Amino acid sequence: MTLLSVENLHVGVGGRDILRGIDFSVARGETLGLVGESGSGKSMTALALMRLLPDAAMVRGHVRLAGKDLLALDETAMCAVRGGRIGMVFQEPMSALDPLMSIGDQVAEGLRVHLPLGRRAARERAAAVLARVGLDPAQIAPDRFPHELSGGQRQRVVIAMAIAMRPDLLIADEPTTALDVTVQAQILALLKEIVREDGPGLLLISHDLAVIGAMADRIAVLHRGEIVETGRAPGFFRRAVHPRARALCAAAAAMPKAPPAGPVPEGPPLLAAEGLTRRYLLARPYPFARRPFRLALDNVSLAIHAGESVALIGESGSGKSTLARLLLGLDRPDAGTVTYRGGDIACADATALRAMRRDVQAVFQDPFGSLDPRRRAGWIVAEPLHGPQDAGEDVRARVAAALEEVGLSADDADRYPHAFSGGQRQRIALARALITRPRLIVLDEAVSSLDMSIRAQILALLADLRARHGLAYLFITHDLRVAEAVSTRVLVMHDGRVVEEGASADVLRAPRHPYTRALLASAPDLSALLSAGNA
Amino acid sequence: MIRVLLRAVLSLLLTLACASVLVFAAMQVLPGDPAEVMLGVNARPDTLAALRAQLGLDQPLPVRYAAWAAGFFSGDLGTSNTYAVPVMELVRERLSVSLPLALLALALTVAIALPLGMLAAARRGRLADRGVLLVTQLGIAVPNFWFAMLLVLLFAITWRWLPPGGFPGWEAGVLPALAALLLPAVALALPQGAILAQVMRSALIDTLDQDFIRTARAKGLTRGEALRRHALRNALIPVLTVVGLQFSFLLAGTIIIENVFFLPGLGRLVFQAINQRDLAVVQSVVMLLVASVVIVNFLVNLAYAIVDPRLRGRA
Amino acid sequence: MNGRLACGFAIVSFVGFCALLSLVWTPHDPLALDIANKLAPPDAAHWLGTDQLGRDLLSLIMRGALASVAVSFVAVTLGVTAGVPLGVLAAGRRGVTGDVVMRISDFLFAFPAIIIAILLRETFGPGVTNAAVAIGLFNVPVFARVAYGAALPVWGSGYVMAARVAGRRGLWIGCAHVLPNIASTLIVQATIQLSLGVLAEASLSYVGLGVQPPQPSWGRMLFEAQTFMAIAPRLAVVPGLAIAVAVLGLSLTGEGLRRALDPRREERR
Repeated sequence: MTLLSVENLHVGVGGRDILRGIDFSVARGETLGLVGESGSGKSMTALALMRLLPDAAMVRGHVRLAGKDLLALDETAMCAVRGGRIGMVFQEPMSALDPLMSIGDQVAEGLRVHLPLGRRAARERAAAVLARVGLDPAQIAPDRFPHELSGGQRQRVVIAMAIAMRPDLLIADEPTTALDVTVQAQILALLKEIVREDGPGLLLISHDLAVIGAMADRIAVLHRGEIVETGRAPGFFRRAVHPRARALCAAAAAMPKAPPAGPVPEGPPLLAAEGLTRRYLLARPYPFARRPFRLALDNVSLAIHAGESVALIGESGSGKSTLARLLLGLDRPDAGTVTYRGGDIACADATALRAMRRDVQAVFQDPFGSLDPRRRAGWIVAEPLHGPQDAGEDVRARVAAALEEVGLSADDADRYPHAFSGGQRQRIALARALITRPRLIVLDEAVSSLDMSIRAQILALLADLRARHGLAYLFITHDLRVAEAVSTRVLVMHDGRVVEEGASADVLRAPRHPYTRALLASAPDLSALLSAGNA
Repeated sequence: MIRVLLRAVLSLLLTLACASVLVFAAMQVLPGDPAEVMLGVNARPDTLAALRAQLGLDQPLPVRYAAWAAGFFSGDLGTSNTYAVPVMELVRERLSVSLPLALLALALTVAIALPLGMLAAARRGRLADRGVLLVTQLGIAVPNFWFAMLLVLLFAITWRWLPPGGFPGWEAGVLPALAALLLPAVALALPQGAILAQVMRSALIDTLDQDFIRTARAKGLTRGEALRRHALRNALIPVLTVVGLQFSFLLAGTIIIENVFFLPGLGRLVFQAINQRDLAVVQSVVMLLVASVVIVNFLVNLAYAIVDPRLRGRA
Repeated sequence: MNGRLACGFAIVSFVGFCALLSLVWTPHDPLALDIANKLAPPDAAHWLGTDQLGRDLLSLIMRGALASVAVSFVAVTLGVTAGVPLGVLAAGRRGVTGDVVMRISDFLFAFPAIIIAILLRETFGPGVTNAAVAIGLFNVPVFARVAYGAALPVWGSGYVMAARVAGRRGLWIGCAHVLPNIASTLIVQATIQLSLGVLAEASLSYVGLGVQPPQPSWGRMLFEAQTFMAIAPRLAVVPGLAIAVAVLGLSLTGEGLRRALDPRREERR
């Protein structure tokens, strides 16, 4: 039985059409996966169903919940629908909760809006709902505040708020994108359980086909405000017809072939770390107290040889970014040494340090933050050369060569960063890293914030560059599939320690450490989508 | 909570100590010999020496500072040279005018800012919002002492509703005293209220754009409920900061406005003392004013911890 | 260029022009007394009339603008040159250096400009320099905080990290990346502080801590007008209007610049 049916939904903002006549439906107890790349209008769809778009948005079409058109309701009636008949889970659990209100009160508030409950009765029911989503009041008291909870726990609170009134429809907009894989698996399991036991329809929105594949009964692909493909999940990849849908599937499924394992590198390593330890001092509990600290890195050692591609896998808080900063000489360890070609970089003289700076470059995660918005692309790319930035035929020629190498054109040197897309910006960052002809590039989550199709392109480019220049990579990532695709050797980090290390194929096929096993088990896989799909 | 309090108190004391050193240095060390200043350059050496001994100026500087600071913190502000009474007595008398004036002005400031800021934020971009922006922009541009003069011209000289200045004293009854303070308080509150309204508006707009407001609306709260229950409390943090900062402006304004209305408050006392070269009074009153700013900001910091559980710690 | 900015800029240019013009030409000598012609209402010779000593009000206003402009400009320059490097430095080296710098600026905040002016007067005697320095000292922590707040995300940004990986030094990064990226914030703040400076100069001169007679200043003129308020309210209205217009012009410019330089806030404000 159809619970929600969306017919010919148009949304325009400022004369621009964001959604152009989309249709889909969700039945009770069914999970519809709405998938699309960034900017395709996914979140817009969710907000349009809830009628929470900014006033400037023009909405046309029909959104029928159990036959009643939500777009025709007045605001009071719509308030009764929100939270009452439709619950919503948002992407960012860090900011989705009011930081000044206890979690129990936030859940209770939603109950009191819809039911004539006293303060105490609402609190009791809120505690029950929190227990339902796995926040046992004995362990996580409802009078706690959001900042005292982990990301996964906060998302559970948001889910509790959404299901408190046992809504007919649950909308989850990228509910796990901000979370680590292991936590993601738990949250997805919780959502599945809720659908199975309470029987609401679930509209799951994600950019990640693997997540959708693990959860959805049916899939709808959104592209530039239009639904280009809809179908049952099993075997979706095989049946997809529309070129955009096929491209999306292909990008998700295809990773560049893992580089050949090659011989075990010999001789002295290019960059090596020995017993690195880094503590972060915390605030004193009372004046003049000894400052407590958090151990971000605990006795970590690693070595990268010339031409080698090493992946460093870890979730947030594992210490992988701290390690990157230490290896790049941006921060000093509390104990241990970093050596470049056998020389300790902590006591290197200016010449040696300059040589190391030239040979070891880096690309960071955020393509929007890693380029100075006030400088032209050419200036940015030339920065590591330490010359006068704009002048010199020689510099200009090298910039042009670097830009062309990453698939941009020499003319792009005169444009400002805001004129480029996310993928292009990451190419500029790569050109900046390449211009000194380095031996090693540290890639800190360099493809994490890119869309699937762009990610595949950048990974292919990286593989190509490595083959051409014999570069070594240290690939820092939380994504096992990326790690597998780019590296010959992996290190797994957990709580500031390297818990497992070995050839990629060995570690990822037959993990020994329990943490690596948990990590592998949590990763959603695409097998359902790839299956024959005749069932 | 206790940790936060302990840290705040410690930093308060440190700030006060630094401020007192600075004030002492500016008043005592730099301008030369106060005894000479008091008696004039032509004074006889033995009279000078006698006065120095009487004022304790023959003591080394650190001793003099310690004596003054210890006196200050125990409530003994020294003796006024011109009035020949303890400074503390003068201060207490003048404070009975300045303190009610500052509090009245603060209350009016908040009374102006709160509704205007909320109205503008709730109707962002619409006519009411534009109106509030225009009015507040004008309010900020008007100097408070000029506004005070215009108020006097209108309400005291032309219409004769309120006294043009002076203070009858609280003995004369509460109403006449309040009537004397009303115009000065309004003059102080208008520009401050305009600033606070703008801060209030942009703080509210910033919080209204936050994700948790959307979450609250998704629970079924109306726009107004989300504004009142979630946005207002969260906007309070930047607003509190500004209220703390405004206190120092309010204080500076009070000093000037008291001169416009001939109110016998601390501000008048300072200027009388400056003109009469009454160093003990100037030094103590200036220190008192600085201390009040520091203490108000200390209280604001404590208020943060009450509003924001993130600053409380779970100890 | 939006309407607000155009309007504010026109007012500011006009005030600035009058101030500069008063150096070379005013309708009458602003200091020339003409007791016989005192408190004269506006006429063809004296467009705004004369004051209690027979001086030409328009000439006084023009010369008074000079004091306002000069004092607030010096004060902002002082605030920027001392405050911005402190704020940028504190943001770049968090930890002890940053803490100390921000503590000092917090501490300076405890001294309102008028208190500093009183202290300076006691130390150095009365004078207009005191007013400029007092307002300037008050501006220092303002700019330090604003620069700190704006520079903090820049120092933490990916492009600063990339510059450090490229081997650039802190000073170079501060000049080549941080300053250009916080410049618009600073320009807006400078305009706001200029407008506050005009107000503060008027207040200080009003209570005798700023421009000293016989030099004309708007605040001083208001002080003198107070005695004659019942008989010649014009003397109190005109200088006050001059202050309000100058401040309004500056705050419109600041608001306009904020919108022009930060398009993200366009729809919000």
